[in-house]
Amino acid sequence: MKRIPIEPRDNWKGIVESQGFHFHSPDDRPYWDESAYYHLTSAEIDTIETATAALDEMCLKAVDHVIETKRFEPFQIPLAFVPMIVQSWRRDEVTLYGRFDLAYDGVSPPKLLEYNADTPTSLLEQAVVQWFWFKDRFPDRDQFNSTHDRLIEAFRRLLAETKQSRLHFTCVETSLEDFMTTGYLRDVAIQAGFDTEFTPLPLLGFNHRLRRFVDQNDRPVDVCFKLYPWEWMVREEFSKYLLLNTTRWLEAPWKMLLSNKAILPVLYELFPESPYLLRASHDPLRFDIPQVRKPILSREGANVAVMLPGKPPAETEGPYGPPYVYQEYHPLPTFDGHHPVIGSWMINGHPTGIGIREDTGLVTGNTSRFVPHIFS
Amino acid sequence: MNRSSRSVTLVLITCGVAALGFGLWNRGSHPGGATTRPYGHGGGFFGWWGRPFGGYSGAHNPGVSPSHTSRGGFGSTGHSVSS
Repeated sequence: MKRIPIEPRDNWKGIVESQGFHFHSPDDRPYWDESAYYHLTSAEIDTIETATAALDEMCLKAVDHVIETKRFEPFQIPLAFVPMIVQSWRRDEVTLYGRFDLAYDGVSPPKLLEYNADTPTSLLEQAVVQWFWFKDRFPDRDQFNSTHDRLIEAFRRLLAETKQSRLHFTCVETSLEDFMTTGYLRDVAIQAGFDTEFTPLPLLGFNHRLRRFVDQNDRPVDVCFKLYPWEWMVREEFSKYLLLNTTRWLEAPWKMLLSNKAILPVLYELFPESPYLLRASHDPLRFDIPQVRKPILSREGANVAVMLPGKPPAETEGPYGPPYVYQEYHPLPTFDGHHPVIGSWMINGHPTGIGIREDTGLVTGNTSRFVPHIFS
Repeated sequence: MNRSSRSVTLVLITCGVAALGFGLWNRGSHPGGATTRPYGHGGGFFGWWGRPFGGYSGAHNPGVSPSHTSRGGFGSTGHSVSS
């Protein structure tokens, strides 16, 4: 695994924008960064793929464990939603996607930092933009990237399972990144055979006569992809209508358990020997163990505290607070002063590719840069 | 809802989409072997990018009275996933 500087393509902004990628430089800071790339070996890619599949399998067993043992309390999910989660799990409702964030240096086994199981982003840049970069720059090499095709498979499976040809999409459309990511998924769904509609989240309605969610034209919403987290939905005004269970949501409600960092202690408890898991607990680890404190519900690396023995905690800013989980600190590798995190995608039950985000700080957040990769 | 922001978004996307022709993203086999491994794309990009963007083509649902519909119960804070 190497980080190699390279000259960006001429007119790279125009190129990536022609691919629908308009959030490459938010607030005039670089997010898409093609002034370097990561070059991995085929064996390293195989290692990541194997780890991703193993982590997914462990996660599914962890969900089953939480449900069977009724261990919901650490997740802080409103109790009224537990039956909805259980039902969606027992129905084996389709999951489209998820992104494992891994620390990997090309030598030691990848380590799970967290699982973005409900609303993972960086999808368009992973599936499409870095693919075209690779085709432009290294057409005789390879890239770990079948995300697009697996997404089509996933939507076809959903179409067959639900037998509903119309699929609604919703997100907070004033966020360009959310809107384009949702748009990309909508494009993929069309290719899979769905008729699609987009409803801005604030216009999603509830019709009291039908007792159904409806779109902005008052048509029933039977199946809906939401790029909006469950942990917010179950705490907002319309949450009570979710309990009527008249709309099928993507991701499925059972993903609430995996998108919550309270799953990390469960995973470690069930699989303490796994080479891919770091020690994790709901309580602080022994004082002399380097550790990271994370809110169970937080996003973009906010409010993460790195606690190293003998040093004051280094905490990122943000709006999130307790409850926390404590995870053994695992230093990210360093390449030319940059710390990469591997985002490894799980789509329709398959590991499908990686996107690498790097930062000069120890915590990957929303100012980290996306750097493309190849392997050979 | 901030409609002006949405308009800006739509203009940006329309500019991006306008640069694409329908089927431009179709791709052939990859000489590096990507299509023979599980890692590579095998298909093309078709669909929505080549179609008119945005809005609804369908008519208002005649069986539903808007007066019975409440809105704004999700996303009222304006927080987004990536902000």
